[in-house]
Amino acid sequence: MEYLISLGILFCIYSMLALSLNMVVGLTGLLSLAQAAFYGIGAYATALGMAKLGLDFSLTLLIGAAVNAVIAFTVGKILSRFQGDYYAIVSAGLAIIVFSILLNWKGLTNGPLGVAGIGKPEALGIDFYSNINFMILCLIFTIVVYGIYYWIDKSSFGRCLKVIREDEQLARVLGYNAKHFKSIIFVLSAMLSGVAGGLFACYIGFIDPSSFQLKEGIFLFTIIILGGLSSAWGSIVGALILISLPEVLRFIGLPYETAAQLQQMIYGGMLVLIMVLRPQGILGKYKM
Amino acid sequence: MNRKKIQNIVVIIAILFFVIYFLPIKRNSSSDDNVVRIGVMLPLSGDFANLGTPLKGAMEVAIKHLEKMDTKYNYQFILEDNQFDNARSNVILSKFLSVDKIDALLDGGAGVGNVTSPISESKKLPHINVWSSDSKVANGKYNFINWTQPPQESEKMAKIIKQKGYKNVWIVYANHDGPTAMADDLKKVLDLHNIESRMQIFNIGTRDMRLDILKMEKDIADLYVLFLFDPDMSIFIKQAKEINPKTDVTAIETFSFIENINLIEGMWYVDAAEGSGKIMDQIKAHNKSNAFFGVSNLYDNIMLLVTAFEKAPSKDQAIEELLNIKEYDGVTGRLIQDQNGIFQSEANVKEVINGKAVIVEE
Repeated sequence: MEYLISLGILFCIYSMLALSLNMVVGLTGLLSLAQAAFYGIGAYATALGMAKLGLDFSLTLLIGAAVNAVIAFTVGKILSRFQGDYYAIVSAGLAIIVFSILLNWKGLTNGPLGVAGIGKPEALGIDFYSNINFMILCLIFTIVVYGIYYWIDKSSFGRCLKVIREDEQLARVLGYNAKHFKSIIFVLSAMLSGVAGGLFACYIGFIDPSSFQLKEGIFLFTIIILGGLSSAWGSIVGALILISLPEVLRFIGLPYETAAQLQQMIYGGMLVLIMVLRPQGILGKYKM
Repeated sequence: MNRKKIQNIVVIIAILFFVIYFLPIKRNSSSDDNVVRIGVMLPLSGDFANLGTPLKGAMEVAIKHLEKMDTKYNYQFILEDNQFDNARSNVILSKFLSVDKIDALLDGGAGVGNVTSPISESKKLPHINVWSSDSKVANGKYNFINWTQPPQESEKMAKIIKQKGYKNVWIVYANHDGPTAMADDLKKVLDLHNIESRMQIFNIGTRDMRLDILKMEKDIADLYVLFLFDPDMSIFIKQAKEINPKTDVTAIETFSFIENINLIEGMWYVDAAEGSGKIMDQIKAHNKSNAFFGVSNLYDNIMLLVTAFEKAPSKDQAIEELLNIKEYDGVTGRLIQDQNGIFQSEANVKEVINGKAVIVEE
């Protein structure tokens, strides 16, 4: 049961990350690879706030979200000038810069040695020390993020984002400030990723920069491509598959000598198969 | 949600269900008082598979030896690949605890150890880590490290640097937890010995280091102490020798896993205690490789656990026996446990002669 709960926690965290990334990529059509950066900033804000400064968990989540908002707003101003592949390259640059800061600013982040001793949270008089309680907390946050996604998707704001995704020039002709809209969704997505990072830090109890590399951003990208762009359920299904599949493969009676390598091959093969059968993603509404 | 979406989700769940229930699955959750289950997590795929795979071989040799021994318990090993990933390691430990019902845990690396240690402590699970240069991993009653710690190796390095009369030492290290901890420690020790030293960091994967080497040479360098992983380390050595063949190159530990040992022919270095003797030869033959970085330590960790479980009146009391092992003659040599639960043996000084690392000073 503990095992399933652990997987459940990871699933919730990655669902939140995928939903927030899908707001930028799926709804707005911006190829962002910067999500790992915001995820890392949120995780470090909570880790440093709780382990070093003894701050309250909810306060550290707010700090993480606020720091992400400021960074995303500033960077978003630059990013909103770009489109398509250029957007992807610049956002990947941001992910690399943040990773380098986490790795090299030893005075703040302890560099590659990471931050240990991050406790489980307490909020509103409830403790989340047990994994089941913590999973419930993660689930609540996931539902909230899903709700935000759903609200955006159905709102006039969401429709503007979709117009930008389909034809940015048309959006401008219709009188929408595309840069402004792109900036808002980027900031919101960064803030939500920061919250997911905070939850991750508390769950794992120790973080180092290796968890927030560019490849993590690519992994999140894979989740939403696999699950389906512009689909909230697609993000959730993508997270479910990519988090649970490697674990399911542990239980298959693969030859002991080569089990680890075969697991990787089967994992890769299944992803290729799904993409061949459903190139738009499992529940995709929009294809890049 | 429309009907098609629901159908898709049902199909995915059905696929997962199929994979879980209809393929030959190993299920191993029955509790048995005569069985001691040891969970082992190592990087067996991914970037660090070259480190973890030889340790898997050591485990296999230990299992063969255990089969021939007359033991009170039947020892079962559950091996999982963690790819050196912290989140994955956390999930694997949950699996070990709730599905496999392990009685002890073996893992490797400071990052992974920092994730598993607090859980081992709270679950009262004896846990021995190999490779960790971060002593925090051994915090608590149930956590142990079996690895020669940086202060001991740094002292040995400082002693040799003094003896050989090097004046301008550059500590060159990879931006990674282990190398950073070791480089920081060496810097502190060299400062204490009044030896001039400076530090140069490289991100893992750097391929052209010549500009930095030129800068170091310009600032005068007569010894490089490397804490790099291969292939970065091999590239550094080639490029440094290209620029100035007179500057000496050495290392603490990292020469042990260089892929092309001929590249460091004639060079000396300080290393964590290395396994030797008949068992080590058996492991090397089993692995069809001379890799030994942590190999003997893992073998010894298994035997340390076996010793503790065999001596203890019950499985729950094995931890007391493990704490009581103050000295242990293992494949790695004489291991001495300090008050923090760190097993260490003396660091060695080695020299590469005719393509083989030979111990020149213990």
